[in-house]
Amino acid sequence: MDDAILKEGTICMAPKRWRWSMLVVGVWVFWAVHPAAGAENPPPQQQKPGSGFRINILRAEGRVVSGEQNQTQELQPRHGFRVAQPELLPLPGFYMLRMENVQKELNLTLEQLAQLTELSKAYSEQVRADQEIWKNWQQMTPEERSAKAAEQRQRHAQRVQQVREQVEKILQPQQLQTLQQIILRTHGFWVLYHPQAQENLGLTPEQKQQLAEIRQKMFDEIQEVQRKAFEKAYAVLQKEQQEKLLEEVQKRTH
Amino acid sequence: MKQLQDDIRKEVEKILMPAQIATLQDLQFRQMATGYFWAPQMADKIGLTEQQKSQLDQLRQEYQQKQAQLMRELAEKQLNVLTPEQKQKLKEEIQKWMTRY
Repeated sequence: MDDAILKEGTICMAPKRWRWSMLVVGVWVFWAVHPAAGAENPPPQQQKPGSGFRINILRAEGRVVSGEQNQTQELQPRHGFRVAQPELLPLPGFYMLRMENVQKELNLTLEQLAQLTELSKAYSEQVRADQEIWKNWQQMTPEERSAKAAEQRQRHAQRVQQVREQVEKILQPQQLQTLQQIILRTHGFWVLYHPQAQENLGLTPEQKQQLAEIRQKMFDEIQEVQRKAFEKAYAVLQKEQQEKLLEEVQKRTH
Repeated sequence: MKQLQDDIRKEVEKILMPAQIATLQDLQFRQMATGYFWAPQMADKIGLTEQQKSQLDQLRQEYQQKQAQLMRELAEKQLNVLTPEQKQKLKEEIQKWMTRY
């Protein structure tokens, strides 16, 4: 592979449509790996011409697998949010309550956390019990399966509603309001760009265009922040550590 | 699944130029490495000193603050594009998404 091409000026060649996917993947990777990441911090990446990271040098030295041998990274997020208390299990509609920074921002008390934990355990047990209805699914007729699925959906909707009511009792109104804001600014970001959601909201072509422009501008800014953070952090490592990091990354991507 | 991924990768590599593949690798490395810098399990694997951990932690905090600030700005700008009715619908959409499973 031409090292001169690798070192300089290649970064912008990545197809634009990929860049957004990379941002999404970056966010998930960061969320999945880092245990104390904020709820609102998605890191993308973009290398600027001239930044010349060591990966290029290492590739030139034959330490990095070539493009032909390399496998693309799995585009599936790993299930591993930075959970403050592992005992606090996911609650439908309130997954974010498990996140350390969200808990901090809401100023959750220990008592509230204990109550939420209890609620999550109870919900989890109910869900497990609900799954029992599929025990003999192989013996079921298609009609029976459809009926069971409908029953399951209905039960799930009820559970969600019950959880909501319970959480609203546990949290203070101010905390609920703050949580809504957090959810809006974190999830709204993604939901707003989903074609189905756009349709449901009845966005006009002008609005879609405006959103696309905002997204692109912000994407560039986020990439720049991420790039600088990466460079600074990478510079903290010694050469051997950088190589070990590369090895670890490669292990995960192959 | 693995076979499918390999096939897709091969197809993608036919479409991209070598330099683009290299760029993609760099991007992948950076996005993965960015998470790893601050993962506790990685600190031991890489052999970070306490001083390095402290430096990285400080960088992480700065990074998170900037990211959070940008995301807040983004959310605000996005919401300004929507009408009040659309904002309300967006909340409902989010709720739908969050309670889907």
